[in-house]
Amino acid sequence: MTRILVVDDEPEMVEIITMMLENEGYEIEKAYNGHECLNKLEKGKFDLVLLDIRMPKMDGWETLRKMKEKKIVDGTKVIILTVEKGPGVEIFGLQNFVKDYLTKPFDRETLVESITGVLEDK
Amino acid sequence: MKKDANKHLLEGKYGISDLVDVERLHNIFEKFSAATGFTIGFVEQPSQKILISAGWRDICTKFHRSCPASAKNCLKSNIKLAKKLKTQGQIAVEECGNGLVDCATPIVIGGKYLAMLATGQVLTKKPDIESFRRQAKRCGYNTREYLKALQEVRVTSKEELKDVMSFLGEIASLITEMGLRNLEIKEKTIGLESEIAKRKKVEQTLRDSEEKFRSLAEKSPNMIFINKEGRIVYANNKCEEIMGYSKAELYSPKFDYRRLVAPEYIERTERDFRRHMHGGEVEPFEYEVMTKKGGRIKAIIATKLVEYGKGKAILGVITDITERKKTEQKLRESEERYRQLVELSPDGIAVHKNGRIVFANTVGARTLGFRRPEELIGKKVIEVVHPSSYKTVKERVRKMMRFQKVPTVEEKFLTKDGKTIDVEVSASALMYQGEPAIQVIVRDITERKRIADELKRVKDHLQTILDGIEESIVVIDRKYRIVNHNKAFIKSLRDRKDGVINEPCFKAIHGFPKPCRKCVVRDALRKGKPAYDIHYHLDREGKTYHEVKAYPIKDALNRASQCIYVFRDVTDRERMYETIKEANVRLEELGKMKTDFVSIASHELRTPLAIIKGYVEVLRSNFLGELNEKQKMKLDAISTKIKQLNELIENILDISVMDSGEFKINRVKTDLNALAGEVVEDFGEISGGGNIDIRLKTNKTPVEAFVDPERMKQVLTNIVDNSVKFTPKTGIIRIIVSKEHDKAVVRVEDTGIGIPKSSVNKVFNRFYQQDSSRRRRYKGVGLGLSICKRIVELHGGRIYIRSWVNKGTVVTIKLPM
Repeated sequence: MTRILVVDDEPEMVEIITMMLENEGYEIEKAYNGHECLNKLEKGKFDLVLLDIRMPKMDGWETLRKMKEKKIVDGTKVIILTVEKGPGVEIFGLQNFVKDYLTKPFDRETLVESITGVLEDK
Repeated sequence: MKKDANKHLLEGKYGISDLVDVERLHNIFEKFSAATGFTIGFVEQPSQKILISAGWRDICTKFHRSCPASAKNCLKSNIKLAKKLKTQGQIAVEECGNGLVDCATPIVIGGKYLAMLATGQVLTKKPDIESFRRQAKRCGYNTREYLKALQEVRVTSKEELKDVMSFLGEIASLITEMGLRNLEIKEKTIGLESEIAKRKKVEQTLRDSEEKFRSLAEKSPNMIFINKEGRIVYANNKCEEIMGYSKAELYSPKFDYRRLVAPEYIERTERDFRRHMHGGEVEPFEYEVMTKKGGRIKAIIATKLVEYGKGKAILGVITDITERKKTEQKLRESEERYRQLVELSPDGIAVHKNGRIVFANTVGARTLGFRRPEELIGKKVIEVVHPSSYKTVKERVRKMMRFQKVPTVEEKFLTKDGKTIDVEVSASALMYQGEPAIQVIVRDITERKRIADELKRVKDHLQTILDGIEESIVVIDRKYRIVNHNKAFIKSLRDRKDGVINEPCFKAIHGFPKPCRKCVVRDALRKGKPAYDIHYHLDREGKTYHEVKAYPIKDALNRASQCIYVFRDVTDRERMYETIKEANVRLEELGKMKTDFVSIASHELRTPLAIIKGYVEVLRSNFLGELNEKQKMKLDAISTKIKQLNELIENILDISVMDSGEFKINRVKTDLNALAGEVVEDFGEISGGGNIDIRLKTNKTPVEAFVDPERMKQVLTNIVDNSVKFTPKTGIIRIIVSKEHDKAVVRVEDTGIGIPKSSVNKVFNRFYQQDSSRRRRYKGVGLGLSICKRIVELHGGRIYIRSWVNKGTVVTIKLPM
């Protein structure tokens, strides 16, 4: 079963995404900040991480850098889901594992299509 | 010669002792006295000097003559005796004051009474012993000794005494006569000797003078000769040297002196010689000497009649003037050269002597209005000098004649036709034809003066203009000295009124002791280019600002030798700038705050919006249970509003990003045909096949422009969206892609309500919407077109809008290819 880690500091957003994706048949794991995200990634294997950027304590970019440093990505793909149209991932040299960049508010369809596309694209 | 000796005798030249041999006479008298017992005394006259005394008695020598009182008697009786005597052979007898008897006869030679011969110290009767005893007592003699001496005194008769005396006188006279004759012989001899010596001396002098003449003549640089009766009897070495004949040849009786004279001068020479011989005067004259080799030598001959040997001769001095002639020639040549030089001079040159012009060059003549120098020469100096310059000229001439130098001055001269001209005159003294004269160099400066006056007028004019200018203008030289300035400058100095010329600018302007660290004057002078700066100074009133400019002035060598320094007080302007600058900074800060605020606010708005939208979708997807139709409709309405709200946030965010200057476009080569196609397609989906007819007309070939496809799509979408909003459902929207020249053009035409003319230009303003009533009918916040304009312009393109109310609107985008 495809495992997806949803990372967002807003519990409501995590709930919404969880409902949408469980409906599509994915197994969802939740994290509410960068630390939790890293912890979960160390403990278990995920096919995809849906990562928010604006988070307190450790933001999305920092989390991505740590993932890269600790080499705990291991085939895990990342889709960024954030409110801002910030600088591109190119700037951070993270294009290898960040596969898509979606902005909030998002359409359910857009999210599902993106996830499907990313997971299918081996 | 007897006459001479007597003469000497009379003149007192000789005394008795010169005539007789006193020594020998003394011997004779001694012997006679010893034999006869008669004493003898020989006394010179009139001195009463006793020359000889023989056999004198003690009574006289030891007593009478040794006691002052009785000695007086001796002398008294001697004089008395001598006075009685006058003529030869006379005999006088006299009893002396001391009681003895003396007898004397005179020695007269050549009529002159030279001496007295006396005998005596005898008694003519038996002595009165008592009277002698009394005398001894009176005079303090030793009476016994005195009486003993008295006994030795001979007693004789007067007759006997006279005979003896006569005899002695004869002898003395004889001796004296002999002495006199001796003397006469002696005198004769001396006379002869001196005659001989005199003659010898004359001969010597003659020899000396001859010697002197010869020595002088030999040393002379001139030829000297003596010609006696047509024969040369003397010629000096110079004659030999120049004439080429030896002295032997010249002195030969056969030598004709006329061979030494060039033929054409022989007659004159002979005539002169004849005139000399007749005692006439002859002037020296210039002629030519003929040499032995036949050469001619220019010379001057001067002759004089002299005594030579026994007779007259002609002494001649010939001076070789070849060198002098050459010098004269050179002088003439040099004078000629001087004339030529002077003639070439661009200045007028004239020479005047004793107040008259004696020489002038052509320029000099022309300056004074004469055609040729000859017309000017001979004129009085005073005729060409203007009366106002008389004094100067006179003073200068006086100085120059004392060989003092005079400076170049400006004077006024008068031309031939009485016109006054200004001239610059240099003058100096020189010798002209052997006499002191004044050389004058004259330059007509009338034109120069006129130009100078004109220059001054222009300068004044310029100064007036400068003084009228509000800005301070100063001319400064390389040493920072103020050369000139206008009135505004003096005004700007406040405390100063005048006298800043030549003062260094830093001192006059700032009161600094040395040049300022930053200085436009220095920059301009060093770089030769204008320099500019704004200075400020702190004073009581706060900062005052000066705008300073320096423009270099180049000299003939293209060096910046001076500069024009212009400055003005720009305090007001600068204060305004500062205020504006401060306001700008504040505005920028505000703008940034606004951008930040908008950005943050937008993000903060999106988060809840995303959640709302999320839950709406969750609900509509029936994840939380089945919804009825009514509920679904309300959720749809919420969805629409969320979409609007999201768009609004998007636009605000775009604008704020643009304002912050961080808006980025990623340009790639894009075919606008395709891009327009996508937009039309999207609208087809969205409108869901509504009534508005959206038509696309692409170009036949791809229209490729270098644009950000996302942004350009956003622009097109926005424009089409506007057209859709303002076009009735029966209207038509055309999208036309084309190429025009080197531009890619996309045109969106609609048949909508149009925009009033007054508002056409405002549509690109932010938040523009036609009016409040329409805003209600047509949704949107009005940020769209302003964003479109910014995006197009970021691509280097332009966007235009034309509109007709109730007919439609055309929006044209032109992009570089």
